[in-house]
Amino acid sequence: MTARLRSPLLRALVWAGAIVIIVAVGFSRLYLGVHYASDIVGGYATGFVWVLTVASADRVFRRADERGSKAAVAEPPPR
Amino acid sequence: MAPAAATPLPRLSRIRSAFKTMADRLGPRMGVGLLAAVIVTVLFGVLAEEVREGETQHLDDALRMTVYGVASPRATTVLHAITQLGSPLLLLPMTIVFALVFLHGRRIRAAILLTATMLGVTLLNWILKSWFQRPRPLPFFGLTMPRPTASPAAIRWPPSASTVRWPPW
Repeated sequence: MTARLRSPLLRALVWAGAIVIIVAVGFSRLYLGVHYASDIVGGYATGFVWVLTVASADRVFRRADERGSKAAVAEPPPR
Repeated sequence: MAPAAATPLPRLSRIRSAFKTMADRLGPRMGVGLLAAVIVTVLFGVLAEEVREGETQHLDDALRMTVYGVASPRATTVLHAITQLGSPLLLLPMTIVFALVFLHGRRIRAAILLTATMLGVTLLNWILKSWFQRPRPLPFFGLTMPRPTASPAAIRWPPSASTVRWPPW
């Protein structure tokens, strides 16, 4: 979501807000006694790895698309 | 001269070459991110092993009681509201709304990315819960948990049943 934000300050604010929410929700689970601390740490680890996996896949597809469009510009179709 | 691809590479060089290709494709930032993901996965494996052996129980109980010891009515109200931010009842409609907004703005990739992320974490959550079958702790503040694992938690974790008083203040 932040990729389209031009202002670095706004981007940093969105990231900071997201991190605060993530940490606060985790702490609330511990505070309310509905999860153990190790459950929360495990959840963070799983979420981090999954989000990175999806982001990496997106990056690979995006770069492949960019390469494809560059190749199409470099080699115009035969008449 | 024979092409470079025809000569068989030693195993280490092949691994290095694969990493280099991956880093070239992803860029240095994502390369570092992937390395972090590998490290976090290894640490998660270690944590999972410790949890399955019950090694973390003492620390978990200590942290639980420490946090419970500093509870206050205002903090309970605030954290009860904050915990709803991670509730599926909020996240599911938000995911649908944002995906539709992205689709409306012709941002197909963003919509797919969001949906894949949310579906993936939901699936992972379900798989991990089914795999570990870890009983939930007994909730504080009179909260009730609908999961069947909540009741065995009170049996397997006697301190929760005997030492927790409500309200804590």
